[in-house]
Amino acid sequence: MTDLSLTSITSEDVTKAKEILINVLKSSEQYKNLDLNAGTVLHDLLLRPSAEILAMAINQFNYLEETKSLQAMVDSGAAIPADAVNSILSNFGVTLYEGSKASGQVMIKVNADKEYTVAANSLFTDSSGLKFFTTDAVTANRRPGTGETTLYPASDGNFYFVVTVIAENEGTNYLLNQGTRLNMEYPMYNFVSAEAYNNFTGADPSDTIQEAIDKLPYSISTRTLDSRTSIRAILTDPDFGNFTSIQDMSVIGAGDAGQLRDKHNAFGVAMFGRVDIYPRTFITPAVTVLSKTGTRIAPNTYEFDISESDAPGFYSIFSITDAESVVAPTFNFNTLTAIGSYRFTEVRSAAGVNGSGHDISQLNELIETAYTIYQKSHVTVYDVMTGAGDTHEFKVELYAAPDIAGIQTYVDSFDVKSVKADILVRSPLMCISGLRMNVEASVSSAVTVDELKNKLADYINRKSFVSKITQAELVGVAYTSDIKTIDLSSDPTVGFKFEGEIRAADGEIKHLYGPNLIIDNIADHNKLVLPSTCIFCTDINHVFINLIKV
Amino acid sequence: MDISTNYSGHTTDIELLKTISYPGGGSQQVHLSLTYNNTPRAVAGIEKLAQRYALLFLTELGSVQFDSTIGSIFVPYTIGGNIQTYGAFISTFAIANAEVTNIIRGNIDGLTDDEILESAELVDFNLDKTNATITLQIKLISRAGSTLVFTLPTTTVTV
Repeated sequence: MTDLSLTSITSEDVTKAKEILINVLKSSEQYKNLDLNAGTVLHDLLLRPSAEILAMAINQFNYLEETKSLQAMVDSGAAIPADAVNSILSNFGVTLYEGSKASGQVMIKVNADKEYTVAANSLFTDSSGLKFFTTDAVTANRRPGTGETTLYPASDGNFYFVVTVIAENEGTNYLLNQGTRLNMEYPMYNFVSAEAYNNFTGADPSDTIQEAIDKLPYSISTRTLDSRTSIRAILTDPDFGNFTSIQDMSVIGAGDAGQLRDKHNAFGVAMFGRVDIYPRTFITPAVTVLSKTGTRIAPNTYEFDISESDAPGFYSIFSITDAESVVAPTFNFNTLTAIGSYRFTEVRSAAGVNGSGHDISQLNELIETAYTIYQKSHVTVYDVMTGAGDTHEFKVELYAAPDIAGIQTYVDSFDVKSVKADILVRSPLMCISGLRMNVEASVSSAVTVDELKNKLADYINRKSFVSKITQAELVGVAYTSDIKTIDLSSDPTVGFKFEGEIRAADGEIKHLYGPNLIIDNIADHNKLVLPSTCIFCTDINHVFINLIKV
Repeated sequence: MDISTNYSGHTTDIELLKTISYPGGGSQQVHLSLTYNNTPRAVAGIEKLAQRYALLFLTELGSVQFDSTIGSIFVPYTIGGNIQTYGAFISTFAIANAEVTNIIRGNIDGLTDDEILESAELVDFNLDKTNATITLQIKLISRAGSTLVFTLPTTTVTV
């Protein structure tokens, strides 16, 4: 509701209100002879105060008109407070999704082997003054006890441990790159330095009103595991699954392309009773960081396992680097893994299937457990030149959708589980994409590189379970900013470049070359690569914008 | 309400200038007051014009919320100590008079010629430093040719 004060109205509001009152009074036999011109007593003591009060009332009325429905809010184009939106959404038992703050890990270096404690809400700041706070109290020790974290020896003779931090406010400007130096407000004794241990993630923007409208059908659906709409409804309802991370979802049922488990019969014919759920539980690609100890198997070669519980349903390995390294690996247009990562191979297999109650063919375990909580991976890392010990500490960064394990556990729970279908939850296949644009704008334009990167990254990250993203769409998004031209040539150094990679269920990396990324061109339902199983995503650091103002 | 003169066919306002609706010979000293004899009175014609002129003249320009064009510079300039000489007083009056005249001529809805200002002249003035009072004797000429001379006292307040 707008303020009931004179500060909520403008001169134009009062002028319009005066005109209304004058017209009303002049049309009345009783009042038509009143002199209401400026400078008269009637104008100053009657008309002006009445007009100001009427202007406030009109504003209140207009506000109520604009907020009487979600569609009216969208049509008004006005900035509507979240409270007003939520008051209508409460009729459907839902609330507006509020964006998340960026979070990540910070490596704290110290110069002595001791026990260190960092309190919850300890403050770190970057060079521009952005603030980050630790989420929990952390105690680091060389021999950590229960609930403590490990103090590792660093290669420079110091020691380090890792804490998790969260940004003070929402915004993609809080997405720090790995290696960013941070100041600690109250450093402990022996403190040496602090820096971002990985690229920060999160900073998802809040839902717009239109997006809330689009999600409404799920909120009025039944809460069961029977249909696509009701499955999403039960998983997102606060009184049921309450998985607020779900942005979008694809459900592959019996007979659908990409449903391999419905043909486990002698005839190979699709039978009902098998459902795969692909929930998109993030907007910007979610990265999980693991610390792994590799065992040397050959000179400069190490191996380790990623168990099914380390990163349930993880999609792919983004990079493998030394444990203490913060080299900020960047997107490589030619391969899925980042520039700066060690070369590695991984072999995935099924784990924990027996006794799970899910129908997974032993003849096709690799594919049918892909991106579920029933997969594990054996990783071999090559060309590790630092250190020659029998073991080596690695930092492993994975693309892993949040809540896959939580959702699977929920749909398997006794009271919720469908008695008609076997439901398996998979991380969507991510088309990890990179974009390069050379853009010209006029000198007077206020457009910035960050503005373009944020718009384009956000657009790509909201494309889920669609068959393609075209160059035309991205150009259209860029032109919503004040720019003049975009280089759409195929010049290898300055032209438009848009490429992506998808890891198929068998581990094959499928490349998509632009300017349009069309999943249908590489679709393979036997490897779960389909528009209905794939989502597009990009990291803002994978959007390269060269802006020239002329 | 009583109207001292037959002003049928005119629009009316409430009397604000005390005694303005008793036009007589010579200059009638008037004061701003809504409580003269506690009897509400209506006003029309050139008396209404005089009232309107006085009200706008004494309103500080920019002091009216949502209408910064109403008023004149006379009072703020006077209180602000900008008038150090008689010449400065004359020029200040001239500017304020022009501002008020423009406002009145720009808002004449429903007015007759004897309520529309043709010109205003400063007939005489007195600066009483002892009582901190300025007295202005103003002659208004309406578009109909009728005239009215009234004396408008303003008292400056020392803060």
